[in-house]
This record gives sequence, structure tokens and C-alpha cells, in this order.
Amino acid sequence: MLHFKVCLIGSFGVGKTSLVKRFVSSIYDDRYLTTVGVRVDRRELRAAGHDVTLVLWDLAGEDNFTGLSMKHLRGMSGYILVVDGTRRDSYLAALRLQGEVAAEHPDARFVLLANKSDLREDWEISPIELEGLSGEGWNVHATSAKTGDGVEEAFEQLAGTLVEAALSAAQTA
Amino acid sequence: MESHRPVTLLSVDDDPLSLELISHALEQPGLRILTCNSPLRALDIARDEHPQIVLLDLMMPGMSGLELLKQLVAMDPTVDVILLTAHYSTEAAVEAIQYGACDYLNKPLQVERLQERVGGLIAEWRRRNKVQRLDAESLEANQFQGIIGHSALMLEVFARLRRIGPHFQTALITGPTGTGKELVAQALHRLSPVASGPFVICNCAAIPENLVESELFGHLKGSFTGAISDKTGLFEAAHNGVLFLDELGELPLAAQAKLLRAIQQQEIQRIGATHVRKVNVRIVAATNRDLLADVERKAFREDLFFRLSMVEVKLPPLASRPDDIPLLIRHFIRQFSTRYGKEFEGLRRRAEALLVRYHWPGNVRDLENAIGYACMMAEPPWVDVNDLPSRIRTAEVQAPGSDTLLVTLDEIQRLHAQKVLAAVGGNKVKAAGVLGVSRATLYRLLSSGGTAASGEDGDHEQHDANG
Ligand SMILES: Nc1nc2c(ncn2[C@@H]2O[C@H](COP(=O)(O)OP(=O)(O)OP(=O)(O)O)[C@@H](O)[C@H]2O)c(=O)[nH]1
Ligand SMILES: Nc1ncnc2c1ncn2[C@@H]1O[C@H](COP(=O)(O)OP(=O)(O)O)[C@@H](O)[C@H]1O
Ligand SMILES: [Mg+2]
Ligand SMILES: [Mg+2]
Repeated sequence: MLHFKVCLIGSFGVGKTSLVKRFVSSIYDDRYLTTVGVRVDRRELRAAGHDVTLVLWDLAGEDNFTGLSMKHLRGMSGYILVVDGTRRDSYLAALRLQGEVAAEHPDARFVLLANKSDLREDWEISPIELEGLSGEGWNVHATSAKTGDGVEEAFEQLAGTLVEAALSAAQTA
Repeated sequence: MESHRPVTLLSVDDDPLSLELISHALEQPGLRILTCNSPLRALDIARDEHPQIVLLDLMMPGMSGLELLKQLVAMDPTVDVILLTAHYSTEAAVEAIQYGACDYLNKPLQVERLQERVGGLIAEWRRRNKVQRLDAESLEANQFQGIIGHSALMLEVFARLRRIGPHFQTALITGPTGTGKELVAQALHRLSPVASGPFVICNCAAIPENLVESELFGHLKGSFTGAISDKTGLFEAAHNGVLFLDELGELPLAAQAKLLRAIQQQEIQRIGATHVRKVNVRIVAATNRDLLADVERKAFREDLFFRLSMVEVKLPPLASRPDDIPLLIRHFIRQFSTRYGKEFEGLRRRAEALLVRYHWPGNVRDLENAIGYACMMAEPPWVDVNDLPSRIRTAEVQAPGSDTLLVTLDEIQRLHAQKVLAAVGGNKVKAAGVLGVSRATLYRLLSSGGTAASGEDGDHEQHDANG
């Protein structure tokens, strides 16, 4: 069994906790209870032909990282940047966060989730922008924690990437 | 007037047509627009004019827009820079954001989008300005003699102080520790006819028992071992003023008898003296103890208690007046900003929400310490959840033996539900109302995590079995 620590990163209220809940226990709740500190959950799944445990660290929402939250990222294999499609500021914050996190964790793999796809009429980011990121090599998924759309696929893809990275690291070692 | 202070926007582009288009599109009252077609000159202008918003063309001769962006942000981290790019490049957009741009727009400019983005920023700047002003006003308007508050409970206290101030001979201030008893004592002094007279503080808990009487009433040289010279007592020092007896409940019984006599007769006798001296002293006493209970178990003199409690001011615990917390936060943020030379705007909303929910066992003093700590830890301009002392951050997840960070949201919900239930005296209908959930949900919350709600009160609603 392969274990990976994966952090959820993004502005507050973008749906990090809801996505974890959806992925781990298939529940969705409309109420918003902001996360204080860190909440850790896990789920086992099969990815790239291997049994994998994702240990999911759901962090309090941040537009940029103070030293303290950086500490929570220590030892992570990957992270999930979450954006609320209906809030452009959360998208711009994610671009900023990606720079900060990648500087400290250059080997960590990540996916970007454009969440709240059930509200697509209200989105403030354009498909062109997301496609552009894909073109730059980012893994981008539209998700809805509410309906479950795209959630499973997104987590699975990250898990697959993590497995591949771990295996190739083992080979070169 | 402050509200009309214009917002300044600087537009930098080597193409004069583009500058003209932007000026034209954005022209509006309250917005000062500066234009500049050279990146090097743009830095000078920014330094002199402090624009809040900068529109920056990415491609210019001399210096790249990104380079200029970096320098602008280094010079003034609060500036909002929107980058204009000739054709959309994701890489450039991402880079711009990571260097501190607040957004980017593509050329050819869509006037509507430009107006919308800039309009949003202007509104934001105006809002910040206004909030600051309102803050100032509301702090002035919501305090009485330096005591901050606008909750119904505190307004009642203020009204009482206003009435008592000019007339009291003795007053008793009661309330848990850290609720502002000393502030109230000072206020009573200022409101009294002897405001220009002395305000003398005696902390009854801090004086060794055998020295209490000598402190209060003074002594003559040689009247007891260690009395090497004559000493004036605090009563005499407070002549024609106010004597504040803090922690009165700690006063030994023997001293209580003499205190009562001094209050009633308005005269004191130094230890070792044969004659009495007349004094004119108003007494404000404070205690966080339940004096009546002390009277019942004979630890406090009944006659002194009744004499003092004729005029009583009760200070409510902070947790019973959460509306005061945001005001107090602002007050302390301001105080510590000055003290530490850091310019804070305030608390992030979720940090404030956390403080409003906290149960504040040490009341306002506790809040003051928490803000002081946070202001020391935080980078201006904002204090966030992570800057708060950990005992407050994790207050809701304090399950014995559990690692407070690694607790599920369900666990936090359960503990919070329990706390609310306890706070409303076990009334589940009320607790559900406070929590904003149905009773069924409340039961589910309480029973999750293994500790089933016990002692059912005959409700018909079902609650989930554990497991
Ligand atoms: N419509 C819709 N709402 C969502 C979705 N995901 C989350 N929400 C709602 O958005 C709000 C915030 O969700 P959370 O999951 O608590 O957000 P968070 O990122 O964990 O927030 P912080 O813990 O404060 O950083 C809640 O009211 C959710 O119900 C979604 O996919 N669609
Ligand atoms: N309503 C209030 N407004 C402003 N500051 C307050 C208020 N209540 C208490 N404080 C501050 O909190 C701290 C504790 O107050 P204090 O009067 O010493 O409490 P007590 O004597 O009841 O223990 C002091 O620094 C005081 O200035
Ligand atoms: Mg959360
Ligand atoms: Mg005190």
C-alpha cells in the first residue's frame, strides 16, 4: 500500500472541506463552517494499478501562506489547489499560491480544481484561461462538491501521478 | 472630507492611443487618472503620487512590464496592479500574478471589462476608507469614560455609572476577573465631585495580612516591630478623593471591622496613636468573589457587606455580550498597533468570528492579551486565525487526550453542540435554535462520536444510533 500526504490549498470558502467530504464519504452539506487549523482525512483507492492511501490535509483557507501554514505542508507528496469558479479572486489567489508552494516543494505534484461547476453560469474565470493552464502542463479539472461531478476523477488522477512519481523515484534510486 | 479623497490611477503604456482610450473609458468623478508612456518615468510618478491602482502594459521598450510590476509592488505592497497583455499568454498571466499583480486583461481592451475591473477596485478602496472612518466614529460613540461597549448589558452599566457618579459615598463593583472593574472605579472617580482629588488604589490581596491595617490606616514609629518611622495610611492619602479597594474579598476579618468604622465615621486611627483623624474619603470596592456566600460562611462581615452593597455595579462576563467583542477588538488592535509600531487594519473575518464565539474565561483582559499576542506575531495589515494564541484557535476541539489539530469536523461540531447545550441550561429546543439546526440534527450532532445524548426528555424525535 502506498501512502501519500496530499494538502488542499486555496482561498477560504472555495470548497476544500466539501471536496474532501464528497471524496471520502460522499456527503455534501450546504452550510459553511470555516476550517480552523487542519483537518485530516484519508481514503484508500486504486490508482495506476496500485492500492493507494491518500492522507488528505484540509487546511484553513489562505490567499497566501504565512510561515505557519507552510509548516503543515511539510512532507507532502502532492497538493490540490482549489478555486471557486464563481470568485475570480480565488483563481488569482491560486495562481499566487502555486508560485509560493512550488518554490518550497518543487517535487510535489498538484492538480487544480475549478470547483462549483454546478454554478457555471456565474463563473468569473473563462474556459480559455483554464485551457491555457492545461497547455502549460497543469492538470486542471472542473468539479462540483455539490453534485460530485469530476471529484472522483480529479483525486484519482492526482493519485495516479503520485504513484508514477513514486515508482520512477524508486527506479532511479 | 475624507470620503471625497479621490482614488488615483496610473496608466502606463507606450502607445498613446491606448492611454487615451483608457483615460476616456475610466473618466469619472472621484478618480484621478495619470498617464505615462515611459516605464522609467512611471516609477517616479508612482513614488510621488502614490496611485492606488496601476494599469500596466506588459510590452514596452526600455523595461518589461513584469520588471516594472516587481518594482512597483516592492515600493508599495498595497498597490493594485492590473497587467495588460497584447495577446493572451497563460505563462505571462501566471507570472504576473505571482509577482503581485492583482489581475490581468487582454488587449485589445474590452472597455466594459476594464470599467468593471477598475470599478471593483475603486469600490474596494472607498470601502476600506469608509470602514476606517466608521471604526473611528464607532469607537468614539461606543464608549463611556474609556469603557468600551454597546451591548444592552454595558449600556445599562453606563447608565448606572452616570447616575451613581456624582453622589456615591461607597460603591461596590462586582464581576468576574478581567471584566473592567478597575476601569469602572476610575470612571467613578472621574464622575465624582472629587475628580480633582486623589485616586488611591489598594490591592487587598497583595498586602500581607499582618500589614493590612498599617497600610490602610498608617502607624506611629515603634508601634510594632518594623515600624521604624511614622507612616501615613492609604485612607489619609485618599483624603478628599477616592480610595479604591481592589479584591476586597481578600481583606482579613479584623481589618474589615476597622474599615467599616472608618467608612461610617469618616475617621481613622493610626496604629499606636491615641487620637483619631477626620478624613473625607469615598470608597470604591471591587471583588470577583461571591461576597454573600462569604458572608454566609462567616468569611466576610455582614454589616460591611450591606454597607457597601447599597450601591452595586455588576459587570457582566464578556461571553454574555458578544456584540462588544468586535468593538473591543478594534480598540485593542489600535492600541497595539501604536505600541508595536505596526499598522494593522484589523482581523480577518474568520479570525474575528472565532473570537466572537470563544468563551473568554478571563474576559476582557484575556481578549486584550490575545490581541496583543496576535499583533506581536502577525504581519500587518491583517491578523488571521493562525496569529491567535493556540488555546483560542483550538478551543472548540479540546477533547482530552486528542491531538487538537487532528480532529474531524464532526468532532468539532459535537463539542460545540455540547457547549451550546450546556450554555442554555440543557434546553434542547433553545440549543437547536442557537445552532440553527433542527432538533433531530442536534441529536445527531450530540450522539456522533460515541457519546450518546443521555437522559432523554420525552421527545419523539429519533436520534441516530451510534456506529
Ligand atoms: N454550489 C456549490 N457550493 C459549494 C461547492 N463546494 C462547496 N460549496 C459551498 O461553499 C461553502 C464553503 O465550502 P467549504 O468546503 O467549507 O470551503 P473551504 O474551502 O473548506 O473553506 P475554509 O475552510 O474556510 O477555507 C459551503 O457553503 C459549501 O456548501 C460546490 O461544488 N458547489
Ligand atoms: N469595557 C472595556 N473597554 C476597554 N477596556 C477594557 C474594558 N474592560 C476591561 N478592559 C481592559 O481589560 C483589562 C482588565 O480590566 P480590569 O479593570 O483590570 O479588570 P478587573 O479589575 O475586573 O479584573 C484592562 O487592561 C482594561 O483596560
Ligand atoms: Mg474548510
Ligand atoms: Mg482588577
